[in-house]
Amino acid sequence: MVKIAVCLKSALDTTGINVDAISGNTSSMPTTKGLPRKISDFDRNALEEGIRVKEKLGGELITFTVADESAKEFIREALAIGADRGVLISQSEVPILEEVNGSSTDKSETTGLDYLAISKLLVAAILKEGGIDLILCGEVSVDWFSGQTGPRISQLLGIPQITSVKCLNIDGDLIEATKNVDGQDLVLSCPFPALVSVTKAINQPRLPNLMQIMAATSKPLNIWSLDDLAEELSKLGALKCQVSFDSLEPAPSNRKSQVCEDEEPEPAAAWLLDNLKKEGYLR
Amino acid sequence: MNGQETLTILTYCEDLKLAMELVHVANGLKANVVAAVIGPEPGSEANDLATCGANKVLAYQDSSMEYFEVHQLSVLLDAMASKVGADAILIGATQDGNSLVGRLAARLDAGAVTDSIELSIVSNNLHAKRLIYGGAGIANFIMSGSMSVISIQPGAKNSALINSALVNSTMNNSALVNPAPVNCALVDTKQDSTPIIENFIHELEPSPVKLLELKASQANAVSLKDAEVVVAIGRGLKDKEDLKLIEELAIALGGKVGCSRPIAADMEWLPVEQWVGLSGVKIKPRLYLAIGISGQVQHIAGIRDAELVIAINNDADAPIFKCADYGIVGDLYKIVPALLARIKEGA
Ligand SMILES: Cc1cc2nc3c(=O)[nH]c(=O)nc-3n(C[C@H](O)[C@H](O)[C@H](O)COP(=O)(O)OP(=O)(O)OC[C@H]3O[C@@H](n4cnc5c(N)ncnc54)[C@H](O)[C@@H]3O)c2cc1C
Repeated sequence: MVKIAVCLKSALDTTGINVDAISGNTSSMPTTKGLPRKISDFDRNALEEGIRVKEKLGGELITFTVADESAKEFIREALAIGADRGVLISQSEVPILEEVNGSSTDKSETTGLDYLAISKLLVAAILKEGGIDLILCGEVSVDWFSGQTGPRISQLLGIPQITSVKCLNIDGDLIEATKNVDGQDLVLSCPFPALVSVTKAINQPRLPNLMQIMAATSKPLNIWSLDDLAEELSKLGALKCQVSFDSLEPAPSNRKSQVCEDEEPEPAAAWLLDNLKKEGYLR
Repeated sequence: MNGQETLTILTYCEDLKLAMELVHVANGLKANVVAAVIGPEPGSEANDLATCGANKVLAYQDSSMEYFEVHQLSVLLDAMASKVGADAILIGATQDGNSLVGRLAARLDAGAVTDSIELSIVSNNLHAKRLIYGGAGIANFIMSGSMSVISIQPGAKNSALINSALVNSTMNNSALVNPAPVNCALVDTKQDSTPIIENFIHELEPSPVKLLELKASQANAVSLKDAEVVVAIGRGLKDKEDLKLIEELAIALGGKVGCSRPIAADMEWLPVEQWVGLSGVKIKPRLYLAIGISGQVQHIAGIRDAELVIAINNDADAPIFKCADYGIVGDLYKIVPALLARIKEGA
C-alpha cells in the first residue's frame, strides 16, 4: 500500500500566444488576458504515473494544488482520471507572482507568491495530510518552465529527489528511476519517502470516460485555507517573497525575414542557394 | 544585499566551459567572484577558473561522486556560500543544474530564477531576466532577498536574442550572458592580487540516492548538440516514408535531421532526442532549415542561437517566416527536390 501525492498546477495554456501581436512597441506586451488555463501537461504525466503505481501496489492517491477556487474544475478532472482525493490550497487573498501583470507600473501589483512561498504551501499541506510515501510532479510547468517547485518540496521535507525521470519502477519501498542526461541513461534508486519529477516521455496519460467523470463528483475535494495550514506553516519559516517583477517585455527577434514567393520551385531553390552562398554557408 | 558594498558571488557548473561563462557574467557585475570546483581532480579546472578572472577558487576533492549528485552538491555549495559570505550563487543552467537551483534555494530559504539570460544590478538590487510563456516574453525579476540562487543559460555568439538585448539594454552594469571562449583569450583582468586557490574541506554524508547503472541511451538517436547544419521537419510531412526526402537533403548539406515536437512525441517518426524546442533540445547550428514547421514560439525557443534560419512552408502567413532569415513560400514536396537537384548539379 502506497500513499501517493501528485502536485497539479493550474497552468496557463500559452500555445495561443501570438508572437506577432507582441513584437514591436511597448504597448503591445505579451498579454495573458483571455488565455485559457489547464492542468500543466507534465503534471498529467505525473498523475498518470501515480495511478499506475497505485494500480500495481494498491494505496491512495491525493492531488495537491495551490490556486484560487477556479482550479476546482481541474481537480475534478484529476479525480475523474483516477485520483482518490483532491486538496486545493486556496489563496485568493494573495496573488501568485506568475499571474501578476509584470508590466504594470503600479509597484504594488508586481509582487505575489513566488516559488519559495508556493512550495511552502504545498509542503504544509503534504505535512498536514501526513504519511506520504511518494510525491510525483512534472519536471517543469508548461507555462513557465522553471522547474523549482519539485526540488524545493523535497528539500523542505528533507527527502531525496530524482528529477526528469522517464521510467519508474517501485519494488517494495525502493524506487528505481531512469533519467537521461546528455544522451546517457542513469538508473537511480532511493527508498520511500521521496520526490520524483517526470518528463513527458514517461507515459501516455489516459483520458477519463463518462462514468468516471460522473463518479468524480462524489469524490472528496478538500479546500484548505492558509489558516488551516497555520500550524504546519509556522515550522517552515516566513512566506516572504524574494522575487518580484521589474518588467515584462516582448522577446526580440532580429532575423532578416526575406521571403521568396515565386510560383515555380526551381527559381525559388536557386534564390535560396544563391543567398546561402553569398552568406558563406555553401561552397 | 545591503548598502553599496561589492557583491560576493559564488559560481558553480559541472561543465568547464559554462563554469567560465559564469565567472565572466559575475565579473560583469563587478562582483567579488568565488568559483567552486568539485570533482575527483579539481586542480586543473581550478587553475582555468582562476586564470579566467575568479578572485578566489574553492576546490573540493571528491572521488566518490560519480555523477551530478544534487543532494551532496547542495550541501557543499551551502557550506561554501556561508564560508565566503556569498550574496548570490550562480549555477550553470543544465538540466541537472536547474534541479540543483530549487534544492539549494530551499535550503537557503532564498529566491531563485532558472534559465536566466541576463543579470544586472539596478539600485543595488540584483535583477535577472528569463524567457517566459514559451519564449514569447522576457520577464525581468528583482531579487530582493539577502541570498539569491540563479541558473544562467549558456550564451552563444551572434545569438539574436543576446545581441538585441545588448542593443536594447539601458541597464547600468549590465552583464550579458555572452560566451567566454574556452581557451580564455578573453580574460577578465583585475587590478588586485592574483587569485587564490583554496582547498575546501567538508565532511559529506553519503547520498540517499544510489547510482545503479549508467548506460548510453538509444543507439540510433542522433545528437544535434554539436551539429553545424540541422534540417528539421514538422507536420508538413505527410508520411513517415517521406522522411527519406528530408534525410537526403540533410546529407546533401552535410547536416543532421531534427524535428518539431509532434513528429517525435505524437507521430513517433523520429526519436525524442531529435525534437527541437523549449521542451526538446536547444541547439546552435550555423544553419537551420525548418521545413513544414509552423514556427510556434515553443519551437523557436530551441533555435534562438542558430546563426542562419531558413524556412520552407506553403502558408505565407506561417509565423516561421518572421523568425527566419530566408524563407520560401511553397510546397515542400516540390521545393526540397528542386533544392536537391540544384545541389547535385553543383550549382
Ligand atoms: C509547453 C509547450 C512546449 C512545447 N515544446 C515544443 C518543442 O520543444 N518543440 C516543438 O517543436 N514544439 C513544441 N510545442 C508545440 C508547439 O506549440 C507546436 O504545436 C508545434 O511546434 C507545431 O509543430 P509543427 O510546426 O510541426 O506543426 P504545425 O503547427 O501543424 O505546422 C505544420 C506546418 O506545415 C505547413 N505545411 C503543411 N503542408 C506543407 C507542405 N506540403 N509544404 C510545406 N509546408 C507545409 C503548414 O503550413 C504548417 O505551418 C510545445 C507546446 C507547448 C504548449
